[in-house]
Amino acid sequence: MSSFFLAIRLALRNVAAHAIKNLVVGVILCFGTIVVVSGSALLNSLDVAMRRSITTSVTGDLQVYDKTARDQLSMLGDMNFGGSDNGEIPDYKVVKDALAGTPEVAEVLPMGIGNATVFGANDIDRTLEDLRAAVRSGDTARQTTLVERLQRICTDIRPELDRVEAITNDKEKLTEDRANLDRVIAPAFAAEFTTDPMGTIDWMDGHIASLATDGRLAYFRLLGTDLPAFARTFPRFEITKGGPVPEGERGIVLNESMVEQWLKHPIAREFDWFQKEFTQNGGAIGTSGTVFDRVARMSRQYRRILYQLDSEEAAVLTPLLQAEVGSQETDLVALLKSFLTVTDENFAQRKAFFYAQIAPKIRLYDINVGDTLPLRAFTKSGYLKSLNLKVYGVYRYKGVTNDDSAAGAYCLVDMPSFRDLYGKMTDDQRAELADIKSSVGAKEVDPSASIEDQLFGGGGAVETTVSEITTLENLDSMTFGRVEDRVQHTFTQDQIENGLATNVAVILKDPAQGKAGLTAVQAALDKAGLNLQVIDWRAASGLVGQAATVVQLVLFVAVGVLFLVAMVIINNALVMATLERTSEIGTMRAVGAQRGFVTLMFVLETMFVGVGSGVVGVGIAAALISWLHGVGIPAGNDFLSILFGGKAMYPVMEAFDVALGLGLVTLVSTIATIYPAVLASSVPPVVALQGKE
Amino acid sequence: MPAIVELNNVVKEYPLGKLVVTALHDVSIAITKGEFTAIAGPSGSGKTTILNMIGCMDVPTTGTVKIDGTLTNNLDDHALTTLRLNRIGFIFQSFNLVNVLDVRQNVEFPLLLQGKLSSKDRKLRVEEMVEKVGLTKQMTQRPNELSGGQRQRVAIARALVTNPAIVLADEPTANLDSTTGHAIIELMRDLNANDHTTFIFSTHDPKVMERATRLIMVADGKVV
Repeated sequence: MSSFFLAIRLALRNVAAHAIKNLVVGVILCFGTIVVVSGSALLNSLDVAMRRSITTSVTGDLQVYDKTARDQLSMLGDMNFGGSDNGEIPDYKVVKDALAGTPEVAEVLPMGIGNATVFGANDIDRTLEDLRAAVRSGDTARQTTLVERLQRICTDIRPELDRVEAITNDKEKLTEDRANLDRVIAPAFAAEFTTDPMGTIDWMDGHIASLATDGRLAYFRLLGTDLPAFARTFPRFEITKGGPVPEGERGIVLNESMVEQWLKHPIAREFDWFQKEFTQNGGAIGTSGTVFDRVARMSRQYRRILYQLDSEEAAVLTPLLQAEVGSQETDLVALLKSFLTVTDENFAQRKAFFYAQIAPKIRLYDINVGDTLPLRAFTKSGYLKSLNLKVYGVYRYKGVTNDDSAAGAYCLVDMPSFRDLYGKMTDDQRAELADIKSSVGAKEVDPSASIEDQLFGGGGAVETTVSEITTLENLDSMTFGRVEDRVQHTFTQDQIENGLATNVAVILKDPAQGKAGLTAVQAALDKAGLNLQVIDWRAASGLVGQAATVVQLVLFVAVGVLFLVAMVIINNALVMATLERTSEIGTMRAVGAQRGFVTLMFVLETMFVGVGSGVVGVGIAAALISWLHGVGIPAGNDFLSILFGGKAMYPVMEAFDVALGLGLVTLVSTIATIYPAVLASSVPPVVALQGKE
Repeated sequence: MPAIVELNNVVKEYPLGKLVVTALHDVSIAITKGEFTAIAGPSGSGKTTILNMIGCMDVPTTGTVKIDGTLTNNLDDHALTTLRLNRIGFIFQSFNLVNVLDVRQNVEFPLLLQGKLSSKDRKLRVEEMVEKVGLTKQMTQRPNELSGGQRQRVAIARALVTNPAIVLADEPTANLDSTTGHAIIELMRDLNANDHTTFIFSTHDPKVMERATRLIMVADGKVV
């Protein structure tokens, strides 16, 4: 034992005696420890933040889906851009019942993932719609301002046709369009309108509306679910505008970030985007690049404002714009173009003016709470279905705002509506289809007989068929694929639960026991004979989860390289030290030190440097993490905000991080010492007789 | 009196590339306890090789080496090291002290390796030895703070602290001026006289040879 303490004493003395060498080694190891400890703390904090962010907003702890699915379920984005085949669960209730007796499970929730689009109306469509309402309500003053707005739009479109002339072959159509526009622009049009308002609106619908730019196509990522249960289960879910869909009713709640990204007025979005570029990326308009190009394009988008202003609003806005742009120009188009010419200097002022003066006068969002949304979706069998759903509210996940990640892109719909858009018929719809089949005399085609004969020949007189078709006048009201006229507007909890889902979210009683929960849920599903698979939240989060794994991998590789370099340096330093100390080692061997003693002395020496550097490194890392915990690491961009579970991450250091750092640095320094220590212990004692002091 | 060191027909050969160099040719030496023996001869004559054999730092190619009754030929490294630790003390031409340790710790070094004495006994033994070599005042100084003669005194104290049967000294005065060298030889001689410790040292200094009680002359790897 005394020789062990002697080795410790010698090792400590040697550490001090070779201070420069050990300082170099120590700095490298210290840096490595800082990277490991703070990296581990950051990754663990990221993991916790991600888990909290993702599991409490959309995925739950586990996700169950079809084992025969072609693609892996990725709720937060994948490489299939929403076109993944995640299979289907024919009856959610069976899954719920199968998991009812699993003690690890706290809650299960049906989910259906799908896509839908909404074609927005153009500005003439909207104005005509408003005009119809004004006519119906007998509001003549409103009618006058809307007619004036239409005249202003037509006046603005008119010169466009001159440019069209150069490229079109259909001169006849062009002449007709010009005549139609001239008719609306003419001062007599106002009087003409009053003689037959509805007839004139219908005429404009058919002849003028198509001349304006098409309305925008909005893309919706839908998540069908049991909405009240979803709100209860996911604590980060919060309604920010409007309210929840009433229990048992159909409806949709839009995601805040989706609304901001897809449904906001284009000019407002441009201002928001510039602001984000300037603040987040420190950018400026400059003289080239994306920001410059988009700024240059903005002044050409004046119509987006102009077409939404009626005459009173235009009159109010004109002097304000004159003051803003510093011009006496009276033409609103010129003023708007000038206003939308943004520079680095006037950007903040223009943005503030837009939101204060213009935004209240225009439709800031294409779709608002209370609107009915004409959703269109391709069913699994490939035909188009549409469904009108009322927008009840706008939601977001607490702490995750303004992100455009896939997590924030889901708009939530009730389960029956999802099934309608997905292409699944309810029992009522099936019964109705059977009635229709019966009434038109539809028959199943027997594939074993001649299909052609069954479809086009064989028995049955043609005249009879024609007379049968004439009985189907009500087919118009059954617009193919349009389901809202047949939809059942309310539904029961049983109807939510009995039916198709694409996936099921499982909330565990103890989220920390994810693996055990996954095993238990899979076992329960297997026991029930269901061909379903279970994945954890990380796998279910798709690209986001994988991105975190990539970050981890990068850190591990960086640490690996750092420690490899450290090992090489330690090894070389110790080999040099061994060579320098050959005489001393030989003397020790000569006077009776065993090989093991020499090895121990070298290993201890490096270990002390390693542990000392490790402790210093842990201290620095602790201070760093503590500081970051105080100030927070800003998410900076939208992707990071979902990883961080908010605008910033506040990392914490745990005992595991310290143990990992100290363990790794000790391991690395010990491994690096093996060769030099063996080399040292091989020094023969006879060297002592040859050595020079 | 039985021999404490016995070399019988020792031959030592070293490979040198494709050649084999014979350093010792059939050397037989017997040294009895308490002798103050000088092994003398010109450089390259085989003095150090003989000391290596006696000091258990090397084994003969043929022949036998017996130290204090133990045949060393078939001992492994561990056993040879243990034999050196317990039975042999070393004094080197270049002093060979451990630079990171002070005088006390250098002297204590073999005792700590042995692990036989208690801390208290070890302390007493070290102080006794340091006093014998006259370095009590330098107890806490490091080797680089001492003169050559003082360093060699520390080496002598370290060699004797374990009460070895034999003390081997390789050219102990070679790096010292004549006065200091003489003083060191006299110190060794006194210790030999008082404690009856067997001293075997190599030298080619006639003045040192004069102080030996026995002189073994070596030339071309043979005792002459």
